[in-house]
Amino acid sequence: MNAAQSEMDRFLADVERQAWSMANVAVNNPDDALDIVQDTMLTLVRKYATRPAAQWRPLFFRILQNRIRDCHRRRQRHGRLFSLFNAFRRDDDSPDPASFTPARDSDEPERRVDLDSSRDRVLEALTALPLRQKQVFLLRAVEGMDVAATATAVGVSQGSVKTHYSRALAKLRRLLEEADK
Amino acid sequence: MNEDKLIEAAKKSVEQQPVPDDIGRRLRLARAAAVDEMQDRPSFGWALPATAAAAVAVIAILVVREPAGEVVLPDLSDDEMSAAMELELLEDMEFLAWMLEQDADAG
Repeated sequence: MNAAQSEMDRFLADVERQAWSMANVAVNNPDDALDIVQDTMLTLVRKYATRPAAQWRPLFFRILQNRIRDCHRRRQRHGRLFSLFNAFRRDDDSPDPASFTPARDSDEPERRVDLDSSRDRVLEALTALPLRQKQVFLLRAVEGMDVAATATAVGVSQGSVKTHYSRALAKLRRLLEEADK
Repeated sequence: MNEDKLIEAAKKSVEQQPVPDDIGRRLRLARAAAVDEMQDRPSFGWALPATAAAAVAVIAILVVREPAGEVVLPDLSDDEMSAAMELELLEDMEFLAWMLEQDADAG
Protein backbone atom coordinates (compact mmCIF):
# COMPACT_ATOMS: atom_id res chain seq x y z
CA MET A 1 0.00 0.00 0.00
CA ASN A 2 1.54 3.34 -1.02
CA ALA A 3 1.35 6.61 0.97
CA ALA A 4 -1.75 7.91 -0.83
CA GLN A 5 -3.55 4.63 -0.28
CA SER A 6 -2.60 4.61 3.41
CA GLU A 7 -3.96 8.12 3.81
CA MET A 8 -7.22 7.21 2.06
CA ASP A 9 -7.49 4.02 4.15
CA ARG A 10 -7.11 6.02 7.38
CA PHE A 11 -9.70 8.55 6.26
CA LEU A 12 -12.25 5.89 5.27
CA ALA A 13 -11.62 3.92 8.47
CA ASP A 14 -12.30 7.11 10.41
CA VAL A 15 -15.66 7.84 8.76
CA GLU A 16 -17.05 4.43 7.76
CA ARG A 17 -18.91 3.56 10.98
CA GLN A 18 -20.39 7.01 11.42
CA ALA A 19 -21.35 7.08 7.74
CA TRP A 20 -23.08 3.72 8.08
CA SER A 21 -24.90 4.86 11.24
CA MET A 22 -26.11 8.02 9.51
CA ALA A 23 -27.19 6.11 6.42
CA ASN A 24 -28.92 3.50 8.57
CA VAL A 25 -30.93 6.18 10.38
CA ALA A 26 -31.71 7.84 7.04
CA VAL A 27 -32.83 4.75 5.09
CA ASN A 28 -33.72 2.51 8.03
CA ASN A 29 -32.17 -0.61 6.57
CA PRO A 30 -28.68 -1.89 7.50
CA ASP A 31 -27.96 -3.52 4.13
CA ASP A 32 -29.09 -0.52 2.09
CA ALA A 33 -26.99 1.65 4.40
CA LEU A 34 -23.99 -0.58 3.73
CA ASP A 35 -24.52 -0.36 -0.04
CA ILE A 36 -24.72 3.41 0.24
CA VAL A 37 -21.46 3.66 2.19
CA GLN A 38 -19.73 1.22 -0.15
CA ASP A 39 -20.82 3.22 -3.19
CA THR A 40 -19.76 6.45 -1.50
CA MET A 41 -16.28 5.09 -0.81
CA LEU A 42 -15.82 3.94 -4.40
CA THR A 43 -17.07 7.23 -5.83
CA LEU A 44 -14.74 9.22 -3.59
CA VAL A 45 -11.76 7.12 -4.64
CA ARG A 46 -12.63 7.08 -8.35
CA LYS A 47 -13.39 10.77 -8.70
CA TYR A 48 -11.67 12.66 -5.93
CA ALA A 49 -8.71 10.63 -4.64
CA THR A 50 -6.30 13.08 -6.28
CA ARG A 51 -7.85 16.04 -4.47
CA PRO A 52 -6.15 17.29 -1.28
CA ALA A 53 -7.05 15.11 1.71
CA ALA A 54 -8.61 18.11 3.47
CA GLN A 55 -11.38 18.09 0.83
CA TRP A 56 -12.27 14.42 1.28
CA ARG A 57 -14.58 14.79 4.27
CA PRO A 58 -17.02 17.33 2.74
CA LEU A 59 -16.92 15.47 -0.56
CA PHE A 60 -17.53 12.14 1.15
CA PHE A 61 -20.57 13.41 3.03
CA ARG A 62 -21.94 15.13 -0.04
CA ILE A 63 -21.73 11.85 -1.99
CA LEU A 64 -23.27 10.01 0.97
CA GLN A 65 -26.24 12.40 1.07
CA ASN A 66 -26.75 12.04 -2.69
CA ARG A 67 -26.79 8.26 -2.37
CA ILE A 68 -29.27 8.44 0.52
CA ARG A 69 -31.54 10.66 -1.57
CA ASP A 70 -31.22 8.27 -4.54
CA CYS A 71 -32.19 5.35 -2.30
CA HIS A 72 -35.32 7.21 -1.12
CA ARG A 73 -36.28 8.04 -4.69
CA ARG A 74 -35.89 4.41 -5.76
CA ARG A 75 -38.12 3.31 -2.90
CA GLN A 76 -40.72 5.91 -3.79
CA ARG A 77 -40.71 4.74 -7.42
CA HIS A 78 -41.06 1.09 -6.34
CA GLY A 79 -43.83 2.05 -3.93
CA ARG A 80 -45.76 3.84 -6.66
CA LEU A 81 -45.21 0.98 -9.08
CA PHE A 82 -46.48 -1.60 -6.60
CA SER A 83 -49.49 0.57 -5.72
CA LEU A 84 -50.34 0.80 -9.40
CA PHE A 85 -49.83 -2.93 -9.79
CA ASN A 86 -52.14 -3.67 -6.88
CA ALA A 87 -54.79 -1.32 -8.18
CA PHE A 88 -55.18 -3.57 -11.23
CA ARG A 89 -55.48 -6.76 -9.19
CA ARG A 90 -59.00 -7.58 -8.09
CA ASP A 91 -58.84 -10.86 -6.11
CA ASP A 92 -55.46 -10.53 -4.57
CA ASP A 93 -54.80 -12.75 -1.56
CA SER A 94 -51.05 -12.47 -1.77
CA PRO A 95 -49.24 -10.04 0.49
CA ASP A 96 -48.70 -6.50 -0.71
CA PRO A 97 -45.32 -6.41 -2.50
CA ALA A 98 -44.77 -2.99 -0.98
CA SER A 99 -44.70 -4.73 2.37
CA PHE A 100 -41.41 -6.29 1.30
CA THR A 101 -39.77 -2.90 1.69
CA PRO A 102 -37.41 -2.96 4.65
CA ALA A 103 -38.97 -3.24 8.05
CA ARG A 104 -38.48 -0.52 10.59
CA ASP A 105 -35.99 -1.21 13.34
CA SER A 106 -38.86 -1.20 15.79
CA ASP A 107 -40.24 -4.30 14.03
CA GLU A 108 -37.09 -6.28 14.70
CA PRO A 109 -37.49 -7.70 18.21
CA GLU A 110 -34.01 -9.21 18.39
CA ARG A 111 -32.42 -5.89 17.67
CA ARG A 112 -34.66 -4.00 20.01
CA VAL A 113 -33.54 -6.13 22.92
CA ASP A 114 -29.97 -5.01 22.30
CA LEU A 115 -30.83 -1.36 22.15
CA ASP A 116 -30.87 0.88 25.12
CA SER A 117 -34.44 2.15 25.47
CA SER A 118 -33.67 5.87 25.50
CA ARG A 119 -31.32 5.55 22.54
CA ASP A 120 -33.96 3.50 20.81
CA ARG A 121 -36.55 6.23 21.36
CA VAL A 122 -34.27 8.90 19.95
CA LEU A 123 -33.34 6.77 16.95
CA GLU A 124 -36.97 6.01 16.30
CA ALA A 125 -37.81 9.72 16.44
CA LEU A 126 -34.91 10.51 14.10
CA THR A 127 -36.08 7.85 11.67
CA ALA A 128 -39.55 9.41 11.65
CA LEU A 129 -38.27 12.77 10.37
CA PRO A 130 -38.76 13.66 6.69
CA LEU A 131 -35.66 12.94 4.60
CA ARG A 132 -34.38 16.52 4.21
CA GLN A 133 -34.84 17.28 7.91
CA LYS A 134 -33.09 14.04 8.76
CA GLN A 135 -30.15 14.76 6.45
CA VAL A 136 -29.72 18.31 7.68
CA PHE A 137 -30.05 17.34 11.34
CA LEU A 138 -27.57 14.46 11.08
CA LEU A 139 -24.96 16.57 9.33
CA ARG A 140 -25.36 19.54 11.67
CA ALA A 141 -25.83 17.76 15.00
CA VAL A 142 -23.97 14.49 14.53
CA GLU A 143 -21.29 15.32 11.99
CA GLY A 144 -20.88 18.84 13.38
CA MET A 145 -20.92 20.60 10.02
CA ASP A 146 -21.69 24.31 9.87
CA VAL A 147 -24.62 25.72 7.90
CA ALA A 148 -22.59 26.38 4.74
CA ALA A 149 -21.00 22.91 4.64
CA THR A 150 -24.37 21.28 5.30
CA ALA A 151 -25.94 23.29 2.49
CA THR A 152 -23.21 22.12 0.11
CA ALA A 153 -23.50 18.49 1.23
CA VAL A 154 -27.29 18.32 0.90
CA GLY A 155 -27.45 20.58 -2.15
CA VAL A 156 -29.83 23.21 -0.74
CA SER A 157 -29.50 26.88 0.23
CA GLN A 158 -28.21 27.95 3.64
CA GLY A 159 -31.64 29.39 4.46
CA SER A 160 -33.18 26.03 3.68
CA VAL A 161 -30.69 24.31 6.00
CA LYS A 162 -31.73 26.63 8.86
CA THR A 163 -35.41 25.96 8.21
CA HIS A 164 -35.03 22.17 7.99
CA TYR A 165 -32.82 22.12 11.07
CA SER A 166 -35.22 24.11 13.21
CA ARG A 167 -38.18 22.02 12.01
CA ALA A 168 -36.24 18.83 12.75
CA LEU A 169 -35.50 20.02 16.28
CA ALA A 170 -39.14 20.95 16.90
CA LYS A 171 -40.40 17.63 15.56
CA LEU A 172 -37.83 15.59 17.49
CA ARG A 173 -38.75 17.38 20.70
CA ARG A 174 -42.45 16.75 20.10
CA LEU A 175 -41.93 13.07 19.24
CA LEU A 176 -39.77 12.46 22.30
CA GLU A 177 -42.23 14.26 24.58
CA GLU A 178 -45.03 12.11 23.19
CA ALA A 179 -42.96 8.97 23.74
CA ASP A 180 -42.27 9.99 27.36
CA LYS A 181 -45.98 10.31 28.17
CA MET B 1 -35.75 18.76 26.95
CA ASN B 2 -33.70 21.80 25.97
CA GLU B 3 -32.02 22.12 22.58
CA ASP B 4 -28.49 21.25 23.70
CA LYS B 5 -29.62 18.13 25.54
CA LEU B 6 -31.72 17.07 22.58
CA ILE B 7 -28.80 17.45 20.19
CA GLU B 8 -26.46 15.65 22.57
CA ALA B 9 -28.92 12.77 22.96
CA ALA B 10 -29.36 12.48 19.19
CA LYS B 11 -25.61 12.58 18.60
CA LYS B 12 -25.01 9.87 21.20
CA SER B 13 -27.81 7.71 19.84
CA VAL B 14 -26.43 7.76 16.32
CA GLU B 15 -22.77 7.38 17.31
CA GLN B 16 -23.44 4.61 19.81
CA GLN B 17 -25.72 2.76 17.46
CA PRO B 18 -24.32 -0.78 17.53
CA VAL B 19 -22.73 -1.79 14.25
CA PRO B 20 -23.43 -5.51 13.74
CA ASP B 21 -20.28 -7.64 13.33
CA ASP B 22 -21.26 -8.66 9.84
CA ILE B 23 -21.77 -5.04 8.78
CA GLY B 24 -18.43 -4.07 10.36
CA ARG B 25 -16.67 -6.83 8.43
CA ARG B 26 -18.33 -5.83 5.15
CA LEU B 27 -17.45 -2.18 5.76
CA ARG B 28 -13.78 -3.15 6.11
CA LEU B 29 -13.98 -5.18 2.89
CA ALA B 30 -15.62 -2.26 1.08
CA ARG B 31 -12.89 0.07 2.30
CA ALA B 32 -10.16 -2.35 1.17
CA ALA B 33 -11.78 -2.67 -2.27
CA ALA B 34 -12.03 1.12 -2.61
CA VAL B 35 -8.41 1.67 -1.56
CA ASP B 36 -7.27 -1.07 -3.97
CA GLU B 37 -8.85 0.88 -6.82
CA MET B 38 -6.35 3.67 -6.23
CA GLN B 39 -3.59 1.29 -7.28
CA ASP B 40 -5.46 -0.08 -10.27
CA ARG B 41 -6.39 3.25 -11.76
CA PRO B 42 -3.79 5.22 -13.70
CA SER B 43 -3.34 8.80 -12.58
CA PHE B 44 -4.68 11.38 -15.01
CA GLY B 45 -3.49 14.40 -13.07
CA TRP B 46 -1.92 15.84 -16.23
CA ALA B 47 -5.08 15.35 -18.27
CA LEU B 48 -7.06 18.28 -16.91
CA PRO B 49 -4.56 21.05 -17.74
CA ALA B 50 -3.80 19.45 -21.12
CA THR B 51 -7.51 19.18 -21.99
CA ALA B 52 -8.11 22.77 -20.91
CA ALA B 53 -5.22 24.04 -23.05
CA ALA B 54 -6.46 22.07 -26.06
CA ALA B 55 -9.99 23.40 -25.56
CA VAL B 56 -8.74 27.00 -25.40
CA ALA B 57 -6.72 26.47 -28.61
CA VAL B 58 -9.72 25.01 -30.47
CA ILE B 59 -12.00 27.82 -29.33
CA ALA B 60 -9.41 30.42 -30.36
CA ILE B 61 -9.15 28.87 -33.84
CA LEU B 62 -12.93 28.74 -34.24
CA VAL B 63 -13.38 32.32 -33.12
CA VAL B 64 -10.51 33.86 -35.14
CA ARG B 65 -10.93 31.87 -38.34
CA GLU B 66 -13.55 33.17 -40.77
CA PRO B 67 -15.87 30.63 -42.34
CA ALA B 68 -14.63 29.48 -45.74
CA GLY B 69 -16.13 31.25 -48.77
CA GLU B 70 -17.49 34.17 -46.81
CA VAL B 71 -16.29 37.67 -47.54
CA VAL B 72 -16.21 39.85 -44.50
CA LEU B 73 -17.19 43.40 -45.38
CA PRO B 74 -15.70 46.23 -43.42
CA ASP B 75 -18.12 48.37 -41.51
CA LEU B 76 -17.86 51.73 -43.39
CA SER B 77 -19.72 55.02 -43.10
CA ASP B 78 -21.39 56.51 -46.23
CA ASP B 79 -18.46 58.87 -46.88
CA GLU B 80 -15.91 56.10 -46.45
CA MET B 81 -18.00 53.88 -48.68
CA SER B 82 -18.20 56.43 -51.50
CA ALA B 83 -14.46 57.14 -51.20
CA ALA B 84 -13.76 53.43 -51.41
CA MET B 85 -16.01 53.11 -54.46
CA GLU B 86 -14.21 56.00 -56.17
CA LEU B 87 -10.87 54.34 -55.49
CA GLU B 88 -12.19 51.09 -56.90
CA LEU B 89 -13.40 52.93 -60.01
CA LEU B 90 -9.99 54.55 -60.47
CA GLU B 91 -8.27 51.18 -60.10
CA ASP B 92 -10.66 49.67 -62.64
CA MET B 93 -9.98 52.51 -65.10
CA GLU B 94 -6.22 52.08 -64.63
CA PHE B 95 -6.65 48.36 -65.28
CA LEU B 96 -8.65 49.04 -68.47
CA ALA B 97 -6.05 51.51 -69.64
CA TRP B 98 -3.29 48.97 -69.07
CA MET B 99 -5.28 46.31 -71.02
CA LEU B 100 -5.76 48.74 -73.96
CA GLU B 101 -2.03 49.43 -73.92
CA GLN B 102 -1.31 45.73 -74.01
CA ASP B 103 -3.71 45.25 -76.93
CA ALA B 104 -2.13 48.14 -78.83
CA ASP B 105 1.36 46.69 -78.28
CA ALA B 106 0.21 43.28 -79.43
CA GLY B 107 -1.56 44.70 -82.49
